[in-house]
Amino acid sequence: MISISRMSYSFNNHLALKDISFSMRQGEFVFLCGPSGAGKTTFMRILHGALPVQRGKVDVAGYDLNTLPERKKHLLRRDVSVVFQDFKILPRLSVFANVELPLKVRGVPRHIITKRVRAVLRSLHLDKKSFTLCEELSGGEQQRVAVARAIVVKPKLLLADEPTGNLDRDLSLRMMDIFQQFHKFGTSIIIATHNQEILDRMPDARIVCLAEGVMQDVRGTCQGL
Amino acid sequence: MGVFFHLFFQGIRDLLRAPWSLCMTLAAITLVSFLGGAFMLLMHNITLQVESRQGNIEFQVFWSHTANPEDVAKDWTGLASWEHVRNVRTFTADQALQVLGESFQSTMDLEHLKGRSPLPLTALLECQMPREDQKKWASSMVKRLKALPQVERVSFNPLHIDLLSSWVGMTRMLFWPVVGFLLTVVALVVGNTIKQALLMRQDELEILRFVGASRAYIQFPLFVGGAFQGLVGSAIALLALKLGQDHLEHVFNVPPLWITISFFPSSYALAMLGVLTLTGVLSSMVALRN
Ligand SMILES: Nc1ncnc2c1ncn2[C@@H]1O[C@H](COP(=O)(O)OP(=O)(O)OP(=O)(O)O)[C@@H](O)[C@H]1O
Ligand SMILES: [Mg+2]
Repeated sequence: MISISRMSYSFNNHLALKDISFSMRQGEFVFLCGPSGAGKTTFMRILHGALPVQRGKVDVAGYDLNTLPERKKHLLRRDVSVVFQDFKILPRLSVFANVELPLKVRGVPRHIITKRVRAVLRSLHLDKKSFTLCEELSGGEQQRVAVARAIVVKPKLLLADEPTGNLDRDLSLRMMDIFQQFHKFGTSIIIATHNQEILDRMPDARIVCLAEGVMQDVRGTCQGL
Repeated sequence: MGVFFHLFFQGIRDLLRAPWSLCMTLAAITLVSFLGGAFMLLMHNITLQVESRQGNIEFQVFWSHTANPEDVAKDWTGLASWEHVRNVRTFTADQALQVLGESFQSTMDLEHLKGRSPLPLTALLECQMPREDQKKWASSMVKRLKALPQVERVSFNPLHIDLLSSWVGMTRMLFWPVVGFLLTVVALVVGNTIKQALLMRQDELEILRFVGASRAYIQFPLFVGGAFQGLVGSAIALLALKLGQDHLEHVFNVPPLWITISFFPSSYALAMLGVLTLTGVLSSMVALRN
């Protein structure tokens, strides 16, 4: 699903990712942890083509990001859904309108959109807020909208950047259940998180740690959290 | 197909989200295309005049005051069938007075002279000159007209062709530069509005890209917006031009001009709509490039 070799990325002259090699099989569930500023978000942004590959080779969901031209990036993004750390939802649109967006841009027929969006909103306990404007939602609700929008398209690869950062314990666990369900249906998932409890509850999951731009496979608990 | 219409209306809805900016743009496009259209109208009419008067000459025939109107009227009906005569306009004494009154507009009241008009019976003969020996032909015409009973005076003038022709030359020469200039202005204005719309929607467009929208999906509504602005702006301008032409149609149809202003053919109007719509699309393309 993902194969990265010797990738580095720098902002101006700050080296954010250093010589990273990483690979992930289809259907794998990976936690990406590491302290703030370690480069987790930068890593995810490269994976869905929001940042260019500066050095090294990156291959995601069958797309060679070294050569994928800008006009074809939407193909990659149709296979790779992202839950952004800052949500990136449209505040002036309703919950429903935000969640249906990825289906609309794919030209999915109306009745299927309605069915899928309703189901996803129900699973995230957002069905009562369907027609509320997103700017009127709490942080946790907005986060769930962001997750709903990412999973409504049933992506091959799901990148979630701190998807539980604004949620209470119950909702966080509920969210993880949903991710696990998706995982069972074959979606590959990378979740960036600080939440130790979540890591503890999933002892089988692979854990990868980023620290100051250097990546390490740790499998167990991430040091330096 | 559903997506197509969705994006089509999306493009127009997006414009309506900034109604003031849209109004200003439309006003600018309308003004510019009005200027362009007015220029086209001018050129069209001058060309028409030149074409209709090319090689034309007008003879003015005045009868004496003592002439009997009924006898003269019989001569008038004969004039139209003379060789080279294209158009005969005749005036009884009262009609001549009326025309005179019109050409003074309302500054002078000639009503009281009705029935005892001091003006002579008059005929204006518009002729197409033969290709050769024009001078000889003209003087023979004068002779022939003078020979008519009771004719007092005949004069002629070759209908300002030189002046008109030089006008045509000038407008033809100016046409492309003027059109180019005006289209550039339209392109800049539309491009600017599109750019503004882009800026306003930057977040939204970024999100659309992240959720997998193709380039066409994002750009199509903007093209529609550009086309819409060009089309509506030029349509309003055309409407204004038509109204103006209706209003001015007969203003110059008075002595000594006898010019009716006609509207350019609908193919010109279509071309104008098409070119401006295209300009709108092209400038939104350019706005997107940057
Ligand atoms: N647009 C940017 N311009 C310059 N430097 C940046 C930019 N984005 C990130 N950085 C730097 O790159 C480094 C990694 O940032 P990144 O956002 O990837 O961290 P993170 O692991 O996601 O942190 P957090 O857990 O706080 O979200 C940081 O030192 C940050 O200052
Ligand atoms: Mg981050």
